Amino acid sequence: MVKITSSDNQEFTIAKEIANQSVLIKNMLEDVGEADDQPIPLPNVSGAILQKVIDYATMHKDDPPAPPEEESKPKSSEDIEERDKEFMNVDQGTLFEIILAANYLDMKNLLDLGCKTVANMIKGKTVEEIRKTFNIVNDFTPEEEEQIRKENEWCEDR
Amino acid sequence: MTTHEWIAWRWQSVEVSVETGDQHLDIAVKGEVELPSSVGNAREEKDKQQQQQQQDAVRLSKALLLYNEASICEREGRLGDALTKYRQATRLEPNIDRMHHVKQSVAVAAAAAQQPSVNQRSQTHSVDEFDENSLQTYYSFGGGAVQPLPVVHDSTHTNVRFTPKHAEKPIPIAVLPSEIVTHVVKWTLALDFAMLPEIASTCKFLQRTTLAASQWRFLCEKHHGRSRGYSTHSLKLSEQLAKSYRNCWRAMYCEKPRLSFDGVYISRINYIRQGYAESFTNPYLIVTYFRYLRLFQDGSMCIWTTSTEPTQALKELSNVMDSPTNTRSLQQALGNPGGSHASVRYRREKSSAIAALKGLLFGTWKLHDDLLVMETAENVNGFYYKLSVSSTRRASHNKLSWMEFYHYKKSGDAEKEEASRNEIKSQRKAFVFSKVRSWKRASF
Repeated sequence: MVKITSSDNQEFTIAKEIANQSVLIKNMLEDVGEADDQPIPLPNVSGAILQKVIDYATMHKDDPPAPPEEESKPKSSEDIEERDKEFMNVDQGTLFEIILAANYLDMKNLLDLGCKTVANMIKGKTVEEIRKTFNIVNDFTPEEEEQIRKENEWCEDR
Repeated sequence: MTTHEWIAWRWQSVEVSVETGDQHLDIAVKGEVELPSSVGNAREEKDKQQQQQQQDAVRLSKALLLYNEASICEREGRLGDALTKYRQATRLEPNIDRMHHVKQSVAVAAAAAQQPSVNQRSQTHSVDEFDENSLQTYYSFGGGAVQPLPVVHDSTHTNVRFTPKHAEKPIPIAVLPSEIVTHVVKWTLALDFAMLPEIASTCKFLQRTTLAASQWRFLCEKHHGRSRGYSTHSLKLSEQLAKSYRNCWRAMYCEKPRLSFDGVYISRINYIRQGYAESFTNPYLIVTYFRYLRLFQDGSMCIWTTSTEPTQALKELSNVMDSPTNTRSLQQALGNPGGSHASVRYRREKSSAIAALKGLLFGTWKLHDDLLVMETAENVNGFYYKLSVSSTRRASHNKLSWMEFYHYKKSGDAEKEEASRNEIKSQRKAFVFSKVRSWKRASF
């Protein structure tokens, strides 16, 4: 068992194979060694988010290890598993926090899942809808906007 | 002086000479601008001078803007607009042409100074950096060079972030560092490449992420590395990059011939045939038929020659195609060396329902640079197609023009096969790609 503490000092005790899904924790455990009973502090992740991440790791603990990467083989597919879709059905704030945590903890699968989820939110939307979804303002001048249209129009209408 | 007279005077003073050689418009202004004579004490003079300077600066920037617009108009062939704008600019600043030139050369010098550092960067393989010079190269794409946008080249803009639309609401996405946002954009483009203009026009920050070299590297590797039908180039992608694409992944993605898998290539053939003459009428019939070509990323393809109209034909085609794409056994078949043949067989079996579609042929394809070579594998009758990939005005790499097309008898003996070649000289109309929205971007 491994003990970890979140930024708000919540302590979690998790199985080693779950903890090892995070490359960060895995490396730390290797450095520190088994004997140490001290909890591992994770100052960048809050308790609520850490709980989500642990849920994800628990859900995927039986996954076969990722095959070694080959150039010809796809690294990961664009499809999202149904259970992952369910898992990612959270508000934007939580979603982006999870992505940040995955990045910090070095969990590639979770990071990709998060990014794919956001990608799916963007896909098929118009500019205006994207701005609305993420609460972003259009900071281009009309000339700049026209310019960017022109630059990218070669890929349109395909 | 009335307005009329003034314009007349202005016309005289503006001399327009058009050099026929390179279509260059040159405007020289001979009129002098009179400066108001200032009288008064020193302090007033100083104030006035300051004001004057400010006004000058505003006037100059306005004039430069107009001059830029004018040169764009000129390049696009709208000479009337160009002339009007040049005149407006020269009216504001008589020496505008020289000023513009000075400004340009300063910009060029600055770019040249940046150049070595860029090269160094790519040598050290840190391709994830924003590829600043890629954009400049791409202004010329699709005809008509356009003036570079200051916003993208200005290095002070590296810290551009999101600005909220509603100040009171948070922007959750703003917590992500830019490399993760780049990652998100990458996935979005992988899902649907046509999202590029939408993402780029959302805001400055997202626009910058679309220029990241890692983005284009990912797309190149995904596209050229994974597709079975692409003939393996002697050079690795990264070596080709330096050799043919100016170290710019974006250039490679745009220029390297590629095929699309999320739609069909359609060739529409019309011909006129004389009908049977009955007494007084002498009918002519216009006959239309289509060739539909769908390529799969696994190196298999199908081609359907039919008179069915596109809307109906696509419906029929999606019935067959959708079933096998995500099946495990197909993926296993693809793991074998003869993968594309296996998948051809698989598709044909799975598509027994479509066997009823007359004229549907399955086969394999290979892309050698810009040459697409396809062979059908039906019984003893083989068809050989050689098409070249080119671009149209509408989009890049979306046209397949006929190079060679013949029929041969399959025997396994190369000589015999060559002897049995029979060139088909029917009408050949180029294939043009149409995207089919409901077909997912081929993924496996």
